[in-house]
Amino acid sequence: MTVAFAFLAGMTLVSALGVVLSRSVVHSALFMSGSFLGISGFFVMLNAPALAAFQVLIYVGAVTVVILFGIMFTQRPQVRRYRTIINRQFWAGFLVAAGVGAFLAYVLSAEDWGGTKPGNGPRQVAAFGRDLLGVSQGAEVFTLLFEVASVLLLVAVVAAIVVSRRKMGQGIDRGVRE
Amino acid sequence: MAVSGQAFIALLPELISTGFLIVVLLVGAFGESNAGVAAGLAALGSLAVFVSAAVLLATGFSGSFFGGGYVVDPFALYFKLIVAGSAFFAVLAAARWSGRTGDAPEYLTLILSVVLGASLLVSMRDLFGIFLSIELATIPSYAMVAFDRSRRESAEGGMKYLITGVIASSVLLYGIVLIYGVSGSAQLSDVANTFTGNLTPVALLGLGLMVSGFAFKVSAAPFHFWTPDAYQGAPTSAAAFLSVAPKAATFAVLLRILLEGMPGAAPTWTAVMAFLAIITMFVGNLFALRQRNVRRMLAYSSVAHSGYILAAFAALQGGGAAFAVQAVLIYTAAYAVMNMGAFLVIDLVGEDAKNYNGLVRTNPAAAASMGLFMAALVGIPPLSGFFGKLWIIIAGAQSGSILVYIVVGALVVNTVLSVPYYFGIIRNMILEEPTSETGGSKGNGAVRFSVYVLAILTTFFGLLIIPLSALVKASGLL
Repeated sequence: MTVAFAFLAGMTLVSALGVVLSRSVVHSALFMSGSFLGISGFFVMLNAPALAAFQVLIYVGAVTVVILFGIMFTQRPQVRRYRTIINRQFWAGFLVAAGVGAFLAYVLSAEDWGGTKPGNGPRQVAAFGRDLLGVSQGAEVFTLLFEVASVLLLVAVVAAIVVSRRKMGQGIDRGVRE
Repeated sequence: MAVSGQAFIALLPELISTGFLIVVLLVGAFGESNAGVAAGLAALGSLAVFVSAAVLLATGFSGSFFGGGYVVDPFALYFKLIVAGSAFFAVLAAARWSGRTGDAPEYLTLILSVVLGASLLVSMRDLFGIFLSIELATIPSYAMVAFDRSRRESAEGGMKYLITGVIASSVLLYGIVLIYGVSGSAQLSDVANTFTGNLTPVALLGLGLMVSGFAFKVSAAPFHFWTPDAYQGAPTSAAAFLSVAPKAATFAVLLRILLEGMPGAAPTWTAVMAFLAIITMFVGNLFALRQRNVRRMLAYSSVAHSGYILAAFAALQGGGAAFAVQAVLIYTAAYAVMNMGAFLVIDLVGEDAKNYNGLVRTNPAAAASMGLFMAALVGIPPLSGFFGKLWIIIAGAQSGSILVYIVVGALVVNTVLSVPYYFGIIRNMILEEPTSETGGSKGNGAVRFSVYVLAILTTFFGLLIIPLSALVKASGLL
């Protein structure tokens, strides 16, 4: 258990550092999928295998691919400049991050977590679906959350499209330009 | 059957706004020149939400649904009325302008999705539901701020709002997760068992992070930095709407979390609120004093008004608690009418202080409305702002705590501090000579109609106060 935890924690942390430190955006995106993979390992250890499966499918698979597509379509010279801004504020950022990290680690370790046990999440996708659709007892609120999340995604897509449309115009620039 | 028929009645305002949201979005897909149709449908939609909430309120419908995660009570319905009402005026104000951008259906869809998120938000009793609905109200607002592609500040404001907003959301989520971790449940009634007088460090950290996240959403200092840039860049209707509706809903849900989820920890969070209130009032008013741009001035003024409402939160203790809840409800309604009106006048006149020179001679109606809104924002009786402040002062006086007396003192000092910049506009309108820069011919009938209706509501708010306070007393949160 401890060995597995150390391995997963190391993988998550090293990949996360890779995301921040690597010079190429594509490498950052690939490192990020490694970090997501480590987190899905944590879900397995916490007795939530269905969640781990979704983490792999959605984050490691879909999100990374979408990010790579995004990079492919928008690759511009200013990507380099964005790096130098980060480097100029390196030490200030580093100190803040380290301070926050140390503080959180201290507070979290000071708490007595004895009463908290790892969850026993549904193991089958069917059971997960029943939870999500509110059929099972005691999980009715998830129905509402599930539906709200779907509207949220729709609205987010509309918002993203509205903002990213290029040309300002008088109602004639329907559709994609460029 | 997991979802009962009653639950559908309870969700009526949300179902109506979802329906209209989709229809308005589809209008855009079926034609180029349907801006008028989309605006009409969106206005009808927000009216329908208003009416459905009013009917639920009138029939005394209440109850708890979805395993206790979603609740309909007069308190929630009251805020749904405020949200839907302000959405109606925002749609009217946006109708012509959004038609010119060519993306009217999309813009109106965003307004309706803020309505949906905000009205879900005030009914949620589940921490994760609260997070989801607050995001549903915030994500479209980023796009609304950045919507005006003819002005650079709009994109800049939207970008600043987006980046700081996403950080605030993650801080809020981290706080919620820690609270969930400590109490083992996301339901507010279960959280209440853990959050008693003795808070563990993690519980305290969770509370602190959550309050910081909320403080950002209501633009309380020191988390207010996005406010002036976002409101200056945003289209006027967006600034007017976003400074009112999501803010009212966020205050409502914060009140619900604190009163239902953490009543035992009240001494801790009232102290935090007192601290936030004092800083927010001073920061808002002192920065507003230096602005020459009316939009920016109103943005800082909205920061100051968040501080006044937080002062009511600080008074949620001792004998003043019931009055403090009423104060929050009355202040948000009063603030909604006067602040929306003031923002919409910008659409008629202009955003530079010079545009208001001699306005009383060139456009007396707009000048009179603006004068009323400014006087109401100061809190001159018998205009709307006066009643909000009166209630907060009464609540503070009854709380019996030295800290709250200090907060109330700060509120009085700040009211005096705010006089110069609000009355500066009135002085410009009356004493200066009209110049070529004087505005007043802009805008269209719908904007003018909204401004006049809001001015009338601001003026006669005192007549509403009796039915309103009866409603507020029945709100059932305390």
